[in-house]
Amino acid sequence: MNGRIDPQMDDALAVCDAVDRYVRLELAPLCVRSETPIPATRCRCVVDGLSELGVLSQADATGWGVWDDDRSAINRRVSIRILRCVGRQSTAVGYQVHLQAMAAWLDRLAGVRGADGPPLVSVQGHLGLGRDAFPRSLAGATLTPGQQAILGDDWAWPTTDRPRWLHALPDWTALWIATWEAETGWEWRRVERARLVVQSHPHSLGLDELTTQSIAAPPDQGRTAPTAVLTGRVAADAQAALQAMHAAALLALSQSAVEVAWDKAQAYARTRYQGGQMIVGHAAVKQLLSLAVGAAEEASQALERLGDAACAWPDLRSQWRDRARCQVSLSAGASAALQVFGGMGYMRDNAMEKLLRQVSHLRLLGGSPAELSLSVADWDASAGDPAQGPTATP
Amino acid sequence: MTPTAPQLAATRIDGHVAVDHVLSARSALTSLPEVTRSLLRYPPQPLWDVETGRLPRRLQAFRRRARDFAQGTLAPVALDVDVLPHLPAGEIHPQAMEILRAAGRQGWLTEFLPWPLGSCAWLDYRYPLALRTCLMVEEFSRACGGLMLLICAHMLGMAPVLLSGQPRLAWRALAPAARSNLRGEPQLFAFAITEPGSGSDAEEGHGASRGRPSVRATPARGGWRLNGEKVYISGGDLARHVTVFAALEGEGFESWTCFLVPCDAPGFERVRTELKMGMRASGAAQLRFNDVYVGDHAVVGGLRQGWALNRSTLNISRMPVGAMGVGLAQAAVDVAIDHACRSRLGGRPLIDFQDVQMALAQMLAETSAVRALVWQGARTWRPRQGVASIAKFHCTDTAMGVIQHAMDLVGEQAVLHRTRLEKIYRDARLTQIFEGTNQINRLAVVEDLQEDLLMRTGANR
Repeated sequence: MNGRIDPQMDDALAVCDAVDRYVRLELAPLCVRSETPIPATRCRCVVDGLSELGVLSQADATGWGVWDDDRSAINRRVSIRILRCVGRQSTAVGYQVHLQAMAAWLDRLAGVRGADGPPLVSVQGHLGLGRDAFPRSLAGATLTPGQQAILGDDWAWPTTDRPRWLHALPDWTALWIATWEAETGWEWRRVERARLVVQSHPHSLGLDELTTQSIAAPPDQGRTAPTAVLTGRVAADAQAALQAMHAAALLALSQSAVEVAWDKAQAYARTRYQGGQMIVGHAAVKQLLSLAVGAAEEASQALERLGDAACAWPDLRSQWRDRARCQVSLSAGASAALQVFGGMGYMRDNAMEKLLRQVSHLRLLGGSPAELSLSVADWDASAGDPAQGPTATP
Repeated sequence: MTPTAPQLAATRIDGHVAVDHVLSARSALTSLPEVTRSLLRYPPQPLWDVETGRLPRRLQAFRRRARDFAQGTLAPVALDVDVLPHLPAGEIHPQAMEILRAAGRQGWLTEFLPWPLGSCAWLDYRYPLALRTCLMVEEFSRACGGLMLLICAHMLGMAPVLLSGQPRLAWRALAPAARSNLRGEPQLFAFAITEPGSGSDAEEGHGASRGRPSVRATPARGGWRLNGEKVYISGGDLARHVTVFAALEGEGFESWTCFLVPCDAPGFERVRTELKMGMRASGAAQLRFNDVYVGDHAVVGGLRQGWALNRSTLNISRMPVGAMGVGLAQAAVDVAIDHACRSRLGGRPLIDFQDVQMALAQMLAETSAVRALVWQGARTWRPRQGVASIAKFHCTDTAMGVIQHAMDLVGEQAVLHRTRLEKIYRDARLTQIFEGTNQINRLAVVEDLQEDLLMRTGANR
């Protein structure tokens, strides 16, 4: 990690440097063979090791870990740097760190200390972003009957016929889940794992090291049990903040994957000959490399803005707009980088196909680009009426 | 429960009038005067049937037969076969073997060959082979990209023998395999051009003129000895015979000669099969030739005819790769439509949302457009490089776009294996790479149009 973030923030820099060293020494050797996913137990060791470095705050007092204090621009920068650093080696480990960090953030906000083992958080509702209903609900705006129907129809609460999907290490102990009621709005509940029906599924597109799990509350367990821990405006603000953190993390992890893909493609293009010359000299290859690096840089700039103290936070409208654009170009960039390798890029012992799967997987979490664009357009359309969309907090 | 016709007529998708509404297109056409009504009115029909109806009658039946086999035999096992453990080269999972046996018994492994050599009726030879192949490949890909490749790579392996213009060789080499395949005892062929140091060089003339092939053929008494390695050979893990392209000792690609190599020949080694991103039901093998001896009778098409056979095979095979793209795109559209019609949000089916309707229409349009491109390009007995390459790169690039669009529509659930979309995505990504990367295929278009382009360049050079 290069350069100082802020002269006064030696602690933050120290964490970043420690993470950098740790990732190079402990995580990188586990990622050498891309076709062999890191076993869950080893992933857990790595995540716990990062936690001991301060990446995941254990105590009530916040440090310089991921999402310790999302309102601080410096902490957002540090969080994004750490996620990118971990993500350059393993997208899955980075994603796990992010999920645990968000749950820890909620624990701190609610003043809850759980039992042994990490809690997680479910931030995705039924079939994506809940259209225009979700952003409007965050602002406490009046919802139309159609919007109320979307959120009132167990949009965020997992049921047997509409489970929520988690991509995480299987050893979590509790799950933060949001519910929405017409009368009370957003509420957050911390549900013990034993009270949920959890099923593992064998395979999904990316995040190979994590287990795809469906989560459902048993039919006899109403939404009122257990009691809500966070309610009212606090719960709505928490929902907005978590969505902002989620969007930032998904973009950071995707960006780091494409950056790695570009590095590898560029290095390969300088060694491979075709048509009597190094392929990096062919315009066709330059176009592919340009797509990859352009996407990585565009996403990098969007992430930089999140760490700017002058920028509003959470500002879902800007973030979703950036993600809608960047995730599309990042997918194209990862695919272009793979294409440089030709047939070799398609094979699992070459890291490129895995990187492409990771980026394609992350693109679909936290709202697909199409959903994000639609939400942003709706937001823009109601911009003249602050009550119709979440207000950014400077 | 399936709604009755009157129920269907009375209900409607949000944003549209009901079918029986006086202002609906269906009602409007019904109310035309009898003469014009008889010309313009049409029954509601799935798009697949509409497009099939544009084909000659025998091809309509052929397309239906391909779909029945694909949906009845390939689709039900596609997801299971995709996640089976990786096997060493030369081994096959029982499920995949059962598919091959069924394909053989139903004539899909011999469809390429005219009766009595294979199972294609002479009447069907009224229609270009490329078109029949594309129809079949599209339907198989729609069911499963990997199983399609498991079946169809065999045809690619046989192609140089067919194109060699040597009826005796064809009869000697292909007929016994065809008979065995029809009995349900698979005997497969594979096509081996790619080498570790020359993937794209083997796919286009300019690269070949500067490249050096590594598989060499040296003369031996009564035949040839082959040495070197081929990589990423689809179906090479199971093939009984491989059509291998090798350069004569001390010469370059211009000396390429095709040899029909039996895989039990001493010195032939299947080194390994690759762990691939997708199309996992079909193996991509690394083949090693350690002083493999083949007799002169194994030379396909004559010495130094390999490059010509390679180029003509690619001209034939690239169009079906375009068809793979069409089939995979269609598969993604199928999943998206199913999702939109079955999933509910806020008490409404997703299809009621206008953006979902827009997305589906766009996907259908793009898939229909690339299908038309393939069908149009394949309606010839004389495949052209430019036309085949255009179909290959445009259809497969478009397919990836359609698949991504479908994944966006399905959202988070698209990453789940059970929704099929992530498999379709992984399978389709290969079509942009094999039979020449899409970049090489773009260059192949220009190479094919060279005379015309040079005429236009004129004195400007």
